[in-house]
Formats: sequence, C-alpha cells, structure tokens
Amino acid sequence: MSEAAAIEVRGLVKRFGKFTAVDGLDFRVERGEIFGLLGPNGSGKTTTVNMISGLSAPTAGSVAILGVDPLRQAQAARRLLGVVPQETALYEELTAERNLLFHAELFGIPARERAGRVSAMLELAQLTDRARSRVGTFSGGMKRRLAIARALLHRPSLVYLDEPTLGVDVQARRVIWDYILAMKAEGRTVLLTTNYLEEGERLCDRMAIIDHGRLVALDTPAALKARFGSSILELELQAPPAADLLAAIGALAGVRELGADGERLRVTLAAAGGGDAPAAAVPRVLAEVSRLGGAVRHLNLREPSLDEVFLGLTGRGLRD
Amino acid sequence: MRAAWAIARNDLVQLLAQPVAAIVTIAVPINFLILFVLFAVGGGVVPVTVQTAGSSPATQAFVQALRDSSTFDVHPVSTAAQGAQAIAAQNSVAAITLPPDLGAPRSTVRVTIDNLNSDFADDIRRGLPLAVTQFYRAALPVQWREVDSYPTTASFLGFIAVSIQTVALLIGGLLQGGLGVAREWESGTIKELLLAPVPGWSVVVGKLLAAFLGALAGALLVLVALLLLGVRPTAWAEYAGVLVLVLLVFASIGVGLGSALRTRQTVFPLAFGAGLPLFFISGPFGAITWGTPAAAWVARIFPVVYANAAFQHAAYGIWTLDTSVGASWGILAAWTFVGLLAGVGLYRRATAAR
Repeated sequence: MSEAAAIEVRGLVKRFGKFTAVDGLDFRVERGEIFGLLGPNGSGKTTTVNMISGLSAPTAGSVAILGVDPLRQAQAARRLLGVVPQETALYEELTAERNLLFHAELFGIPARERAGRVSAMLELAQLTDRARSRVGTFSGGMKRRLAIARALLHRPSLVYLDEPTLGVDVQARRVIWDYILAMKAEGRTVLLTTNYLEEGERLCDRMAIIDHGRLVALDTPAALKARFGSSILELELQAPPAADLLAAIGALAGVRELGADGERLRVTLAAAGGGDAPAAAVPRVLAEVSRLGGAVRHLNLREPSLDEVFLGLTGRGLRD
Repeated sequence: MRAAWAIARNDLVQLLAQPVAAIVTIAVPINFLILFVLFAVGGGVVPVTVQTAGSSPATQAFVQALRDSSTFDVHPVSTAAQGAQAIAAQNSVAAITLPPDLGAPRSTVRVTIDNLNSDFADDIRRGLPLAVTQFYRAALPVQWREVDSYPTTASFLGFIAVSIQTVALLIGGLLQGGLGVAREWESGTIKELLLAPVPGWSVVVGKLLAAFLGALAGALLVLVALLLLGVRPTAWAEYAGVLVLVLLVFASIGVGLGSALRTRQTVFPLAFGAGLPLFFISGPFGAITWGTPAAAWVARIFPVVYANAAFQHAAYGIWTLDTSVGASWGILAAWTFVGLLAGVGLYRRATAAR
C-alpha cells in the first residue's frame, strides 16, 4: 500500500450561497516538498487552505492530510499541522515566551519539555534576547519569525504558511525563506500561499496556480515558465526603427508581439511550449534588423517571469 | 480540562497585562456605590430654615416634630430675612415661620417654598402636614400603632448598597466573558485556538473560567467596600451561592455575546446598554412591585431581580419579591443553565466549520 500523500485534495468544491469560491480542485502534495498555491486575491486560495486545515467544511469533495480527514479526525489532523497565519495571530500584550508557552500547553507538550522547546524555538527565531518583551513591541519581521517558531513548536509534519513574507522588509524576507528551506531540509512538508512569484519560484518544488477557484496549472516553476511563459528580446537600435523594419520583424515566425519606444524594441517571443524554441527566433530578428539597415547598440534576452506566466494563463495580473 | 485551564490562565495573564476590562469592571460598581452613598446621605432629607418666635414648649415640640418627620434637615434662623436669604442662596428649599401663638386654635405656620421643581416642593408639601399631624398626635381622635414585618429595618444606604454587588457581577461577567472572546477574534488569535488539538468545549470552559475569576476578583473588592460601609451578611453561604450563580449566568452570556459580536467595541456598549437599565428596573431601591407594573413585568423575566432579592435576603434576612425564595433560586439556577447553553451554543455556532 502506498504512503499517504501529505495533502490530497479531490474534487474540492466550496460554495457560499450562489458564489462558488472553489470549483472542483484536485491536487496532491507529496511528503517533504514545498508546495505553493498561487493566485490573486479572491482566487480561492484561503478557502482551499481553510478546508485543508479543517476550519471550513467542503461543499463537495474531500481533503486528507497525511491520510487524516481534517474534519472527522480534527484533533489528530491539528497535531500534524503547524500554521503561520498571514496576520500572525500572536497575543500582542503577552511576551514572546508566554506566546510560545501557551501554544505548548495547548498542544499538550509535556511540562518537563516545554521550557526546552520554547527556548529552542526562541533561538531559532533569533528572539532569545527579546523573550520577555511584549510582542506588541516587535517589528513585522520579528512577529513573523515568532509565528513560524510557534508553528514549529509541536513538531508538525506539515507546515502551512499564509503569505509568509507579506509586509516584511527584504532582509526579513530572506531570513524567512531560509526558515522555509530549513523546514524542507528537516523533512517537513510545506504548503504556502503567496502573491509573490519570485517567492514561489525561489522556494517551491511545485506550484498550483488557482484562478476563480479552479486549478489553472500545476507544475514546477521552471516547467510552468517553459510551457506558458514567453521570452522577451529587448533591443536598443542606433536609430528609431522604420515602419518596414517593424513590419518585417512582426511577421517573423516565433514572434508573438512587438512594441517600439524610440530606439527601443521589445519583442515577445512565442512560448517554448508553442513549438519553436524562443532562442531560435533571436538570430532571425537580428538578421532582419541588419537586412533593413538597422544597427543594434544593445541586446538583452530575458527569461519569462512567473508574472508573465500567470498573465498568460489567466489574462490578468496577480494583484489585479 | 488541561487545555481549559491553559486558556483561562492565558486570559488572566492578558487581563493583568491589559487591565482596561478589569478596571472598568471594578470602577463601575464602585462609582455606583459612591453615587448611592451621596444619594442616601444627601438626598434623603431637604434643607429648610425654621424661624421661631421664642422658645415655648409648643415651639420646641413642633421643631422636634419637623426633625422626626424624616423629611427635613432643620436650620433654625432668627429672622424672616435670613430664611429668604437662604432660599435665594439655594441653601434651603423652604423657609418655615412658626407663629408666636403656635398651638392656639387657627394658628398658622407660614411656609415659603423654593418650587424649582415638583420633587423637592412636594417633599415640603407632604412633610409639613405630617409634622403638624405629629405635633397634634396626642389630641387626634384616631391613633396608630406600627407593627414591623422584620425585626430590624435596613438603612436605605445599606439596602441599595447590597444591590451594587449585583452590578459588579452583571457588568463584570458580561465584560470579562465578552471581551475575552471578542479579543481573540479581533487579534486573529482565535485561529490559534481553533487549530489547536483541543475540543471546542474546553475553549468555552477556559474562557468562562477566566471571566469568572476575573469578575470574581472585582466582585470581592466590591464586597470589601460593602463591609467597610457596614453591610454584614447574615447568611454567608447564601450570599456566596447567589454570587457564584449570578456570576456564572453573566460570564456565560458574556462568552456568548463575545462569540456573536466578535468586537470589543460592540461588547462594551451592549454590556452597559442592556445591563444597566435592567439593573435599575430590578429593584435596587425597593420591591419591584412598588414601581410601575410594566417595568416589574420586564424585570421578572431576567435574573437580575432575583439576584437583588437573594442578596438582600442573604444580607438582611428580608425578601423583596412576590416570588418565593425557593422559586427564585430555581429561576436563578435555570438562568445559569440557559446562560451556559447560550455561551456554548453561540461559541460553537461562531466557530463551526462551514
């Protein structure tokens, strides 16, 4: 018999009255992977995760985490799950240490182990020197680190982070990314939702793109870019291009879109999945420029970003 | 119960860290107590000047009758001008002038009333004829004899002070219970509770325990204030029993309110807006049947009136309701059950996976 997946979602549907927030989601998260749920606000990410964590009941379909039904076996499921909510959900009037101790008590960590676990988690969050400070005095990054430490306190097999770096500075973001990567190294499964494509690309083994409650694509970041992204060729010419040059480039095979701004040209190449490899179009563009008397001063071939993948898949930006 | 105790302890630590609710819980009843003391001390009798012509036995007897009427705070003056001056300076509600032939047939006591409003003016209009009646009591063809229902009469201050204990429990229970839960929703920490491997009932029990202990601390401080005022409960066990039951009722309703409203800024006005009018129609100053029937009818629905009556019973052995002692205890117990059901039900409804 095969080992249960970290998360298995089958035919998941959630309706609020006439509004369908999640519409037939199917995906499976393997143990030990970092899995990203990507989608704009209102796409159904949070509703999906609420059903995974047992906070919300599906209208149809099923969820299992490590083989456990989060609704019917709620307490067992909660022991397996560590959650870092977007709003951190810390007791701001209490100290960092008291927050962790309370979590330890709630999760039934034996009294003799509590102090040691709390101390270790404060160390992990680099908050040992602020253990007795009220959380209300902490920066956003410190609160996020503390929330992560709290989620790990009871040694969960699956950690869910909701927009883990939303509103934190660049330095704190790097630290949080390191924590997430460390979780994976320790063998935990990580589920994260994010609006930041760079974050998904950097951290996730696989990503599910959700829009209007439906799964639009699911693959590794590299595969998603290869299948759905478009490379961009940026050219700077010696002089503004003539109309016939623009027409000629626009007509070339492998060129999807063309934009001009003074001497600058922005050539969107067809996606790799579309047939011809994007790189193959580059010599053809350059040859055409040369044939029609143009001269290239500067050239840049840029990989497609996940933003562009998302735009291509859904027709809208992530933060629309 | 392990989780319930952890949740209760966490709430109490927060209460100490952010004691606004605790301060309000104690400040409101103590303020009421101060107001009631001022009301009882200063508002019971009206200040009047009495100008006498000489000090005949009749004059002395009439002044004593005025003093015994429980209506007047008598200030003797020598001239009518002094009486008028006291009224003008708002130091006196009336200037009473006793005639030199006081006691003679058709003699007339002259009174000038500062009739700013009917309340104090009517006190004079009622009190003076009573004093005249008392003055002539021996000559009246009809006499009266007082028979008391109770061996002792509670002082008015003592009577109304006891009801302060109910305010402390009412406001304390509603606020501590309501704010304790609403705070979790406001700060998002409700997720910490919902995602913990603990049954929902243990969260309610923990919240209830914290609200109970927090409000109990306030109620005990109020009890100390009552003891300092001279209130000495004659039945301590009954007093403690009422206190526990009433606190359970309001702490449970508070937990329910907090679950339903989810914000502290709605719990605060509702606790005061609903709680205080309910308190004032529930017999803090006397039997509810002495007031308007509609108010008494409304008061009978809620537990506050039974709490007031039971506290008076425990403190002075008196009973202020037309419902029997046993039935009132039954109603309080039923309200405790209803309060607990409401608290648990509303929390479960608010947190159910939908």
